[in-house]
Amino acid sequence: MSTPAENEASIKQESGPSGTVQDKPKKIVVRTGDGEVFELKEEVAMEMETIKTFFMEDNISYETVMPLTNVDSWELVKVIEYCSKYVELKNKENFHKELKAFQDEFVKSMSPKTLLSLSNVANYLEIKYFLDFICQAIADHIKSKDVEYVRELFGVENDFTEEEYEMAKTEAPWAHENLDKDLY
Amino acid sequence: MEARQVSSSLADNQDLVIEVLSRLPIKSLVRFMSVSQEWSALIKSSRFIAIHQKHLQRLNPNLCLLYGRSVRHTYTKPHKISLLGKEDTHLVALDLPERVQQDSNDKLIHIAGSSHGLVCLHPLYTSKNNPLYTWEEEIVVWNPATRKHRCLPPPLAFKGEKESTGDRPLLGFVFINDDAAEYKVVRISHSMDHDADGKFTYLTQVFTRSENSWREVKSCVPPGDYDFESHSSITSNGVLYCLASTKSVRYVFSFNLQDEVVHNMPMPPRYSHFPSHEFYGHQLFTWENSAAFLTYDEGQYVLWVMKKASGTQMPTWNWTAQITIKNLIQIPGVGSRQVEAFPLWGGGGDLYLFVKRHVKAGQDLVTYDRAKTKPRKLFELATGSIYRQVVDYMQSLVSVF
Repeated sequence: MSTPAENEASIKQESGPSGTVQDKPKKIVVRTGDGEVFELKEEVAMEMETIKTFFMEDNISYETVMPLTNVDSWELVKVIEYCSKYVELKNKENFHKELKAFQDEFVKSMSPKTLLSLSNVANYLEIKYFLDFICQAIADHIKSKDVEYVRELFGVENDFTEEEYEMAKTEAPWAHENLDKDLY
Repeated sequence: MEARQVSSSLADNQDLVIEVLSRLPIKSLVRFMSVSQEWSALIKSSRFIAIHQKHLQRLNPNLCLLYGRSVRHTYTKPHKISLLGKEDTHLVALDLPERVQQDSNDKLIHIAGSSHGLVCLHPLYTSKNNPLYTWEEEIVVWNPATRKHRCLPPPLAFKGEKESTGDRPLLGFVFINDDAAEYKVVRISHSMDHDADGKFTYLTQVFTRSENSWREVKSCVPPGDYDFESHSSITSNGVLYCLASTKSVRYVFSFNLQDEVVHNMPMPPRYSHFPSHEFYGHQLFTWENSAAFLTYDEGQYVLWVMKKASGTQMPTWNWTAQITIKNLIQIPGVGSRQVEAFPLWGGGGDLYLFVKRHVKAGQDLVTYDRAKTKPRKLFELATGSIYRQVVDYMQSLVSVF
């Protein structure tokens, strides 16, 4: 959904509650950290609390391009994909079933690092249901992984001694059993 | 697409780490305490434990624990504790701490209470090491999910007289404060001998996690003859309840663990005097946060629930006949065999009943759907075991110490 920068000028929407009704649906324009400009449908943009607050709180005109410096363009593409689908399915009868099918497809090819990046974005943009979903996906992925894998994924340094680690394993051997063998 | 390097500083992302970790099962979290010192401190923090508990509750509401004991002496693990969730199709056996499981052929465990993931066990047994063959007692606080337990220090002894060795002391357990993770245990015992008026002396003592020792609650239970049916006792909503009788009048003794105050509550008039052949099972249980018991009358079981009367300063209690249990005979697989119900728990709208099997020794657990007034599920329990108790349970990381 990326729009070339020169189309910015062609956005002629009125903003705010006093705006006149236009034929074209309202659009909100944002610029990601890597310089790309995106045009979002208003209903999708409003799913993101951060964007909603930015425009609503001070009654900022939709002509303003909101900077999303902490978001990369590929991340925003994914967020838009999810939120658009969510909004589309929201009032349908089979909401849960169809959402689940979409969710499974959505994460299918994603690497754990990708999921972590998206969780950061979900947190920054304040999209509760997307954050819930991504965090659950990460949790499901690391549930049966060993300690070393998790350190590597989260970039956490090991500050336990070898003895301390062995002692912890001896105290609760059951917690270190039956882990995933295929790790990478 | 390039995944941006995730910040390795937990300080930037702690909320995010909490969002992920709080969705993990306890086994994973126990393991991940070894990821780093920071993660260890986070997982052990009361803030995280509370958030995690909420997630677990949402996923697995209406969990309960069942306790039973094998009647055969040849079993190596005679004591059985199982976990059951409302939607589960089978029971999950849990491993009791070894010292609790160790049996001298007559050990009986009473579950004093369960709260916030902690279970208070009260094993009582006679030991050959003890020349008088008087019983030995242990009070154990156990977290089945983290598999940790602790044995409380021995309770205070009676001063100037001996404690009774005939009756099991009453034990209650409550979790007081979410933030401070404070729990409290109460123990009520009586003297071996009574005075000229037939009255026994009672010793009431409490143990709190923060004080880490037993403290006597003076002038709590005045001398008397309460004839507690201690096996019937339960802790519900911070109150220890026990069936008692004085001079052939039956009532419910209650001890509020928070206020450390005693209240005696009358039984419904029909059942307050002996003999009462209609009074079934002699067992109190928890039903929707209140004390309840079951009666059998003209082919029907009636559930009586104790409700606090509103608009009064002093707590007065009324018993109301809440539901009539029908159709027990129609439990699939039961047919027309005689049903002997020991009601044990009310959770998630269902009543949990132990039903004695007619043919081979053992019991079935039946969950009875109160709304639809018919049995919902039947679970076959281990043959040769007698099941005695069902308690509320929720999984948590709360520490036993």
